[in-house]
Amino acid sequence: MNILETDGERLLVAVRDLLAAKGLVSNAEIAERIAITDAANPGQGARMVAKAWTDPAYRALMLEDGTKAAEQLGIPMRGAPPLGVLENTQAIHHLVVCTLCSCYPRAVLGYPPFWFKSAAYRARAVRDPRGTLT
Amino acid sequence: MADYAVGAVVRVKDDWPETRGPVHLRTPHYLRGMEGRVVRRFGAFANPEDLAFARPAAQRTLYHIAFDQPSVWQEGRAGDELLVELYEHWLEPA
Repeated sequence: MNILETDGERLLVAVRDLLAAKGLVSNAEIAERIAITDAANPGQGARMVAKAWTDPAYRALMLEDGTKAAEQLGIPMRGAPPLGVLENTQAIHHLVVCTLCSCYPRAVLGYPPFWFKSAAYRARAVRDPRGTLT
Repeated sequence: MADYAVGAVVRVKDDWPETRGPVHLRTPHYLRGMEGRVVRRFGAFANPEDLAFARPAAQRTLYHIAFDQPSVWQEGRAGDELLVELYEHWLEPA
């Protein structure tokens, strides 16, 4: 059987049961992780930015320690790499790209949009950021 | 290994480990041999080049290094910068 043609739900159950049987991860831990992943979406990032606009202390925390700032708004960051935050100003606009793979703040924003991982975006964003944005 | 202060000018090593065997690298090829400026230090992290192969991984300081965009790509607007995360063992004093 080709794993790519397997029913995703059946595959998930099989792998989950295997992990539980081997005592590596419990079903409850997997369910918790799925719930956290499903809850992550761009709205969480927008909520952080909006709070930073109106709360100078939160803005300072966000620029100093993005992970703490996310956790303060109830976004679970356990197990995630440190979250860096860069501020746009009147004069500076940041464009984020992972040219090597697909690093993305999934704990906060959820799955990246498909184009973020595309070879075209990764190659072009780093060479011609202004052209990519316009 | 040298310790770089914010503002220091550094050069990315012109080294190509991918020509010598299987590797996991976080240093973009287009920056090898390029000069940049230290913008911030992130602290130390286990070297992903070893972690990727489940080898014992030493702690390495991770830096944010700014590069002049037009110098790297021969295009782009003057003043634009590339800001890239690089580990200490890829840097040398410029």
